[in-house]
Amino acid sequence: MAEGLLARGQREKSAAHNLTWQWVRRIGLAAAIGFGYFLAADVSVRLLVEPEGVAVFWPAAGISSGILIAFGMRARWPVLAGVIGATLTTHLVIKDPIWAGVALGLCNGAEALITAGLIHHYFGAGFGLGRLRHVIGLFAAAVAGTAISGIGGAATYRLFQGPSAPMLDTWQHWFASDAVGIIAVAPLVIGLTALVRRPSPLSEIIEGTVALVALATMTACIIWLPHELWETLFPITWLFPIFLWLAARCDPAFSAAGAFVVSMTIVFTTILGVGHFGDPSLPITDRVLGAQAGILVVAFSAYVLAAIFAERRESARQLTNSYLMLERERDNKLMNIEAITAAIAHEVKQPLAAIVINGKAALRFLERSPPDHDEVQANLHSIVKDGFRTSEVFDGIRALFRKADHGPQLIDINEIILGTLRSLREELSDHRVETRTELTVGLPSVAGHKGQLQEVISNLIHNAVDAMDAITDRSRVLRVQTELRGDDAIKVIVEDSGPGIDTSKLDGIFGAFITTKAHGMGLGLAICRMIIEKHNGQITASSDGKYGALFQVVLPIRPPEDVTHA
Amino acid sequence: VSRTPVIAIVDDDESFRKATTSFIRSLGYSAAAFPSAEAFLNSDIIQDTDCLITDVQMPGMTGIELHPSAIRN
Repeated sequence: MAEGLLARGQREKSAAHNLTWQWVRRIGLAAAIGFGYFLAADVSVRLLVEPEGVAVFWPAAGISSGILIAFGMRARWPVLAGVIGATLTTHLVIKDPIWAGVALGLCNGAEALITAGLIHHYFGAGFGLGRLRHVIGLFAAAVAGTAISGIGGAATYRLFQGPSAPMLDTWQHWFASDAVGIIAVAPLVIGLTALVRRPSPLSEIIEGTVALVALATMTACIIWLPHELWETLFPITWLFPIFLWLAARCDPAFSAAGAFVVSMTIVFTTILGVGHFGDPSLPITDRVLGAQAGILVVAFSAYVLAAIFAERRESARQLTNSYLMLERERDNKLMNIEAITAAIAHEVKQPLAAIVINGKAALRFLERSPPDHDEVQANLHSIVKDGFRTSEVFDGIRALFRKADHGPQLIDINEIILGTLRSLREELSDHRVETRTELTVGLPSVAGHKGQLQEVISNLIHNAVDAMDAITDRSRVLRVQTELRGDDAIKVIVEDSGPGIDTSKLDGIFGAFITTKAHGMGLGLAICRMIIEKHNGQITASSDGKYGALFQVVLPIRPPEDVTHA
Repeated sequence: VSRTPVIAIVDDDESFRKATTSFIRSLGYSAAAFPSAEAFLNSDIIQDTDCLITDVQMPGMTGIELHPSAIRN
């Protein structure tokens, strides 16, 4: 129980501590706002409009509204207190009555409350200068807030200055000076608060500061420009919207061309004494100075704008590119899976169907009386053969992607071809195929996966043999050739004298779902292409569509140092 | 005199061709097998064929192309 009391006591103490802090912060904020508001107002009251004496500019309105928008409505009491206090002080200094100072302070406070309240109502805490809708909303809120507070302001002036202050005029002056004040100052307060809460990278802060200094310098130059130069230089500003257009949409070369056109026009008209810069009524030194300044300003701005927009476009382009690459990579992966699945299905379906049909036939032969044992025996032999054929397909696939075969080796392509031909000797003679080999001796090795390249060669030869099955009127010739292509690649050609491939089908022949009905271990041309492309090579097919087809594989020779010897 | 109907089988896949042939025989028909459309068209069995079972996708002439030529002969 004693502990419970202690804990409660501590809780109360810390709550009281928090409350104290809240009040300190509120009073501090009110004092800061009041001080800032007073300073701004003190400058403003040095220029008053007749007859009633409303300030021409009222940037103080921007301070109060800006802080209230940036800090949220929870800051309303400190802001109100600060604004009323500062307004009262200002009006006491210029010897207005106390009640008028309080009333005007209330008007100024209401103005900030209305403006910030509208922003809060329509945009909530997510308000920011980075969105056009919000920026336009700020303008609208400023107009509404100052228009309403202006009514109170005009009434107050009328009350303490009598009929010498027409209410409509006062309202107009109040509205204009306060709206301009909010629009000019509030965004700075809002932007700086956001920047403090979420700081930009240092490089951006430095760049922004440099640009601001440049802007201030330019502003100073413009303001203190001699009157004659104003006339000379002012029309040049009309060019900037077009420069902005060029920079935003076109390559920097166009902006440079634009700057060149303007500069040359200024130079030649000055020299030839025509137009604005050639006006003989102005002193030559002014005209030359104006022309030089004009060229510098135009060129500098055009180049900077062009570079800024080019950077934006470049980063957008990089983003698009990386997105496209990601998409293509995903498609490739899908294509490979599709190709492998289609090839497996294609290879396995045929022998499986044969097994089923042979089984059905065997059952029927057994049902006969007497059962036909010779036929059943033949069926069973076929079933066993097709069973092996099916399992060979899977062995082949596994061999292709075996771990042990993953490291690249140095491979003699001729050796692979001769080995494949040796293992197919029986099949070739069964199908009465005449083999002609034209292998170039002493070819450099290629780096690659032996099992995979064997699969490609064996697949191409199988396809050739199958294609030539249909040929009865001419000899069946399989030609296998190897040669050096250039000094960085090896070319392998597998050509048959079969019926060829329809020229309209040549393009799609390596696609995943185009099958050429290969026998045995052939894993399909889609897999062949996948393997060759993985070796950074190319595989192409050509045919006249009548007297045979030619498959050409090009494999790059890689420098031997990045592979281990087989 | 009724004779055993002759069924011709055209397929370039050897094991599938053999299996189909055997199955047709098990049903009590007479079967003749050919590895290609051209081989079938060049054979003298074509006049006696009652039924043709053909694969569609084959090197050389396809099954679809074979049909009208077979009827013509």
